Amino acid sequence: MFEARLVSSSTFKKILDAVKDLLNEASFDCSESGIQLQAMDNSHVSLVSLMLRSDGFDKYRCDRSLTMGMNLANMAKIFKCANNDDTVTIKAQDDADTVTFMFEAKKQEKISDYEMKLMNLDQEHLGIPETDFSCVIRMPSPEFARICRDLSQFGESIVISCTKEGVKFSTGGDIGTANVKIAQTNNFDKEEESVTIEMQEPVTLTFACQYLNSFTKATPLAPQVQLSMSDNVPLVVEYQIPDLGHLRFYLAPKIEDDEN
Amino acid sequence: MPRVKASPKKCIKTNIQQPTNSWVFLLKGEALELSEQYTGTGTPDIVTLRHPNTGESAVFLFSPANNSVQEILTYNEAKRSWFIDETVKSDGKMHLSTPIDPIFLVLPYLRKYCSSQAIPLDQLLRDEEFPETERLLKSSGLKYLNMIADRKGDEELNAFKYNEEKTLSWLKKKTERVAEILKQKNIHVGSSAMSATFVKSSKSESPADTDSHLRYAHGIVSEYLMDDLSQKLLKYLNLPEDPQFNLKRKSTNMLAQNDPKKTKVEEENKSSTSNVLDLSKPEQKTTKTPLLTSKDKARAKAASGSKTISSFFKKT
Repeated sequence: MFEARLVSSSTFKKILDAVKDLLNEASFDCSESGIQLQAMDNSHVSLVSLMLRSDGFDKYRCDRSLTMGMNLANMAKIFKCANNDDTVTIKAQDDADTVTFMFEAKKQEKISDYEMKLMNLDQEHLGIPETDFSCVIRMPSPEFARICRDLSQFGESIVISCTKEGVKFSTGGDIGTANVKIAQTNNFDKEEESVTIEMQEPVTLTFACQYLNSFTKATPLAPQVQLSMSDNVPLVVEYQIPDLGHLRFYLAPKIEDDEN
Repeated sequence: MPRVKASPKKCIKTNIQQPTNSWVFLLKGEALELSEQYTGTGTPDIVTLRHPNTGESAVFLFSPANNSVQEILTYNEAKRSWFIDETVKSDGKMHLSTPIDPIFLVLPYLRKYCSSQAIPLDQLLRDEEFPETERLLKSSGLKYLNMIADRKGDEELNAFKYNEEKTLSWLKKKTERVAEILKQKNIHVGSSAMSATFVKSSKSESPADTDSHLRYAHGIVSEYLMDDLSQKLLKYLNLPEDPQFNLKRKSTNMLAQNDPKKTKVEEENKSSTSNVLDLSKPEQKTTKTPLLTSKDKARAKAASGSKTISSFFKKT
């Protein structure tokens, strides 16, 4: 028997909105420690990794670990039926082929149940090694979304270069070139608005705009985003979900032209 | 030697674009005969229907009352013309028609739509691409449809559900009859050449001989079957799969596809024979790669030039 209860369904809605752009379906691995999801997009260039800790839920029970393959578009349809302040409960039997989502309104005056068929997904799990990144950038998540959106008008890929002076996002295309520089700022009154850069050595990497734009669909989840980069290692874009866990996107860098 | 499937193009009209359209056509008498009840105009009609093997357009002939169907075969040699009275017709093609069991033409529709549910026949035989398909309803051969399908519901409803078991046994009978005729007519089907005057010393037949007759007959019947059904029939007949045979057929198919001229002619035909776009080919493609939206394509394009993410992480 698996049961997880979360007071606000809006967190789940936001997570779904963030990943359903990249993934059509995914398996949720439920264990005593929490719910995990790891999946690559269709082109196998990016990886989505979601972790929701069991202690973040209002009620969590998982007798036996189970994997639930779900179609994310269908799951999003079901969560559209819930109000933002509804309490959501996810339930499944140990070897069931369906999962039940129950939405309860604040005053218990309305309870709705949705049962969804599970899928058998054949997905390989990747072991992600702990890496000491050369650069770790923390910045306001709306700011990062804005930069990606703005720059994607000019080119298909964004060069992110991190130096002592700050971070530079640049791109070029048929129209011309675009550069956005961000310097480190400390805002002690509003911590979520500050930009911090931890740098061991300067790094310059190129990434596909399309993917970065998809990652920024997770912006409503967290006020801050963390970008971690090292040479020849995937970029990690991490959104902390308050009190519950994190959503990480990994993106393989573009192979530089001079290497070919 | 197994009979290699002939190119289906032989039954496609190829001289339609000529405005002064006359054909040399050999027709069996019964197609011109009128049944007693029938009082309409007495000319047979030539229409395009979906070919049961390829799913592409092919030309068939309906008798005046629609009660019998004949397929039209075109025999073509590059350098030949006809003398007709005082004129020369440069197009040296010869068209022949032979009766065909309409059940073969209905079979692909049944297999496609009626394997899980029963559908009334008049709904089943509605093909937007080939509106003339409806005429098959009137053909007399269709009363034997229960040989390949189960009738469901009322007699009046005329609804059928595909039955593969029945179909295979029906096809087996067909194949055996063809093999019988091949034997009677003494058509040589072995893999080696043989003199026409050669007389076998012993009358008793070896089982291998029957086998090769059956295989040859299977080749003929398969010209009117989808490839997968043809394979199933081969198994049902207890004939081992012949790798050589498959190879050969594949290579001929490839040849046909690679010949740009041929495909061009075919396209021209398509546009001239029916105004409706032929959707059969793209349909097949979409089933192979489902749901590739423009977004997915854009993403695949964006992904180019990156290594796959799994190359960075260990598989567990």
